[in-house]
Amino acid sequence: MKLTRRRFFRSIIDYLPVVAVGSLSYPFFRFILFSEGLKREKVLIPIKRLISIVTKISHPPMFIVKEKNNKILALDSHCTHMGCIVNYDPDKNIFICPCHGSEYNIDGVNIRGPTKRPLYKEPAKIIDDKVVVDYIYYKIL
Amino acid sequence: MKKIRTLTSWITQALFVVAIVSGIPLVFFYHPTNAYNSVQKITFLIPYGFFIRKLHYFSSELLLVFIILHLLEQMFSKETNITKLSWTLATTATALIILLLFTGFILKADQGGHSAALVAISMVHNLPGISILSRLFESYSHYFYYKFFLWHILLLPVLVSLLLNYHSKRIDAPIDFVSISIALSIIAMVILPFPKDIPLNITVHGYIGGPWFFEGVERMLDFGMSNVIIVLLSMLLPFLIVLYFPFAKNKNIVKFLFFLWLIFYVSISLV
Repeated sequence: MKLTRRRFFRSIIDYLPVVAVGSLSYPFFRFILFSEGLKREKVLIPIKRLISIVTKISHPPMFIVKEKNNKILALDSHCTHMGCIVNYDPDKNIFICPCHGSEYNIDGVNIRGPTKRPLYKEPAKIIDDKVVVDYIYYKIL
Repeated sequence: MKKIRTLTSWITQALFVVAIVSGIPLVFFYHPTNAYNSVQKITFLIPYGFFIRKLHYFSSELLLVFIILHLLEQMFSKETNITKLSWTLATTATALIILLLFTGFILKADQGGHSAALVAISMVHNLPGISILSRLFESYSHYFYYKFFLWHILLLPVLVSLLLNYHSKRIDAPIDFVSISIALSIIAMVILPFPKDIPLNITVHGYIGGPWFFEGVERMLDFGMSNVIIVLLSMLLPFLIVLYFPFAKNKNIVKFLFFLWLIFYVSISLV
């Protein structure tokens, strides 16, 4: 079939919707896949709240561990295997993931799989009578 | 045999209608920013809330069971007359319905739902090349359930309805089957136990599981298998086998492969 000028413009018009949808898909996907990146939150915990060696903080999820040398360790509660929230077992003095059974010692070091990494440590320091934790969301994911 | 095939497809269609209709009232009182409390309010405070929640749960679970039965009978019967396009749409719809059930499991927002959401986001995030897709589900802090909510109440039901509308164009279920499906769901409500919600701020000494259809995935995660292998073995492989079925010249090989996969997945789920 000979390509006439009429047929040429006709085929361009036929494919215009494809071009339109195609050109819209880029901003559409850029929009819905937008991420704010790492989100930080300053968390203040009064020292008098830390009555036991390990204190569970629900929001944001973390454990505050009182170390022997009067130092504070803030451990992210997310398991480094698949992100579930780990629990503290006071009898064995370890953290256990209820999803797939990973275990960590009191310092957050992994002692049993399937995880291959220790719990994340959050930057924490004591200012006056408060523990100040610079919590970072979603770093494990 | 043909009558039984028609019967299961009618019940499947009607169960989808029951699942959608029973989900509508729940949306009125479900708040993704206060998810767990709103689920408890629906369950224990609002009149008939527990009944509607149970009806929504059991009709959806039965829907998946009947989809599996429908798939098996279509695959293993000798006189199947389904078209390639219809089969492709139905296979895609099945994958989306599994996602729909999974997002429903997440939205109960107890420790089980929360853990399932974290595992799903982690799994997608650790898949090479498509990790960015985890952003389709993840949100921060109070909005954690917001995107799962959007997928569950809007995007997935609309997509599945469109696909099933074409798939079941030739066979429209008589309206009586809606009452049969409601009756089946109520029988399931009476016979089967309804899973308890695990409150958020208690320490669980034991195992928190996912939905029953992802039990095999959970076991593979327990074994420490890599994400890519788990997704390939438990999701992509069965999807591709079923999708390829109507296009295959030797259908018996595809049937055998699917049967082998089914034995593998059921076995690993029961380990």
